[in-house]
Amino acid sequence: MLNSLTLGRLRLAVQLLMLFLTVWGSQVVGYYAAEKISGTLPALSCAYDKENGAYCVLVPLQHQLHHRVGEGLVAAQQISLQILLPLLFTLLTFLAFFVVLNKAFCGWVCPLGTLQELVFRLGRRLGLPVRRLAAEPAAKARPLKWLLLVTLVLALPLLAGLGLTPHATGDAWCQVCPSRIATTLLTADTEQTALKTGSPLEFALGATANILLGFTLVAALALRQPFCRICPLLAWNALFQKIGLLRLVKRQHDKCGKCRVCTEACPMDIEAISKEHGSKAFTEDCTLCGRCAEYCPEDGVIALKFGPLALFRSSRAYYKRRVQEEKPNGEIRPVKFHVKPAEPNRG
Amino acid sequence: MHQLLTFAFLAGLALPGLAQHAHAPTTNAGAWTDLPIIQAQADRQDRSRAQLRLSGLDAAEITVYPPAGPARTLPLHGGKAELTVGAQGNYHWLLARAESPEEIRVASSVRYFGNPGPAPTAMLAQPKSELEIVPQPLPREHWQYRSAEAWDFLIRFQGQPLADATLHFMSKNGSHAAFRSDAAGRVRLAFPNDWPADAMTEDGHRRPMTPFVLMVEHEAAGRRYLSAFNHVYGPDPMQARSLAAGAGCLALGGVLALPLLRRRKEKKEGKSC
Repeated sequence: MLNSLTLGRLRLAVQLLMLFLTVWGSQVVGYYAAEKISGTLPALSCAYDKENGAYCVLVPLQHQLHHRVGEGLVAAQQISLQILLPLLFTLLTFLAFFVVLNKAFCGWVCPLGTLQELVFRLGRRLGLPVRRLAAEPAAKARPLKWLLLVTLVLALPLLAGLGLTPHATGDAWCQVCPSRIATTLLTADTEQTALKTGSPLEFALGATANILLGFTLVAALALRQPFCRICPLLAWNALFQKIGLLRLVKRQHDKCGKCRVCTEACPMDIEAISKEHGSKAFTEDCTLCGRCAEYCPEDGVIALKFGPLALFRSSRAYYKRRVQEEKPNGEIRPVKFHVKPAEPNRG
Repeated sequence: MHQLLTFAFLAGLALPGLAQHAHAPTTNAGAWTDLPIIQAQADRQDRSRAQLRLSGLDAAEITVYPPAGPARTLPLHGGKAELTVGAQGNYHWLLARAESPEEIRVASSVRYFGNPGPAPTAMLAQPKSELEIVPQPLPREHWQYRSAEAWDFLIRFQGQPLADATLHFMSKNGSHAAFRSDAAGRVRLAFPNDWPADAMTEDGHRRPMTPFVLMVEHEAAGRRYLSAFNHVYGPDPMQARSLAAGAGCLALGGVLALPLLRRRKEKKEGKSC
């Protein structure tokens, strides 16, 4: 039993549990308790989902920039503790969450991340080709998540609060977030899928979200984690990754940069994990899924560490076992059935 | 009084499990109902404060039940009071009552405050008057009552579910309806779609909302009880949304990603260790 427990299987179990919590969790934690969990651990799923157990940190962040900071500045013409405290509270609880988990939120908790992984597995079952993002387009896509973070999550809600941009931009990111559509559809709620027709701006923002989700779901059949590459939450997490207790640690090895199995295993196609070591190997795109450590064929080269404690270290023995069930690029090995030889007739 | 007469008429029509909606012209904005109601107006500058106004009832005070802890009373001046909740937010139950030897009349409502606070489960479970209309449950922080949605309410008398009671619904938009409680005292109320076609044109953050009031009457031991619960509801959001357009955009996104699924000759990449 223990022999069949891999980090990948453990992560899948955690992802499925968190998917349930973040999409339908109020059925378990209680209708009202879901709000309290959101207040304590605000980095979970979508506030537009009526059945979730908690919601995403970007919701209170945008809301507070819009209504507390922006409108507060207009009303009071000064920054008071009363305006800043709720914002600080959100940031501090967010930090507390990420100091413990760091970017593992993306690789272990995020419902949209889990959905993309499940769709990718479906693609393998259907025998569809595997696409990888080459280093050049991956590098070009990288700044996009920072641009989305600065404009849609931070600037537009603040400007809406100041009265400089339309009210619809008060939660601009939520309006284009494909996770909002995906998680609400999972609860059989089509309200968020339907586009607002009240204003061209709202229609355009909603259409963007739907197109993004449609693209993400089909692309994920062939390409791993297509949306994660531009997700502003990954950028937001990356801001704090240096202070997180859970982190990826890699030491230099002679074969690094040559075999590239770790890069092949990485769902974000990160080149640096095979070429670099030390802090340079733990890049802004890493989601701490741990696949590079699982698929590194050398003992102790890549590790997932919590503070000084190594939670998982690469090892050749583990690698050999892991590739038996799944190739580094995510292709699943066919299950082999062995016919038990008939016992000799002793009669 | 004419509303009560309308209710009496509708109550006569009410059948168990069956609700009727009737539409009437919108009443005067200032006096859309004679029933006892407590209106709560948020303070935009201070989110822990609300202005309360009681109408349809001659009471000296409003009792405030926080989500946890003891209730407190606010004296009314000219039917108005100011409620400040401090650090403890979430739902607060508001109640006013007028009592005579023949009759007990109660107005009740709830007000949500954005600050964190305990869940309102215990507050709702606690009996607060003889005859009660208890939301089961209350809308969560980001939600509200809306047209075309069904929400449950529990009718309770002396803390026990009251079966076969008639719950009357009336809204400022002019809708009237009557519902009958089941054996467990529950009523499923479907909010009427009684908004004009352009209601969903939002004006900034002021989403269109209209007040409604629920009323139930009961007689026991020669005494008449009348309790009302009022709150607000919004229009059906699908009124200003297009599911077809949304599905079309989803499909468009999927089509744009289709080239990724084409099988082509793969270049051998990487080396095995």
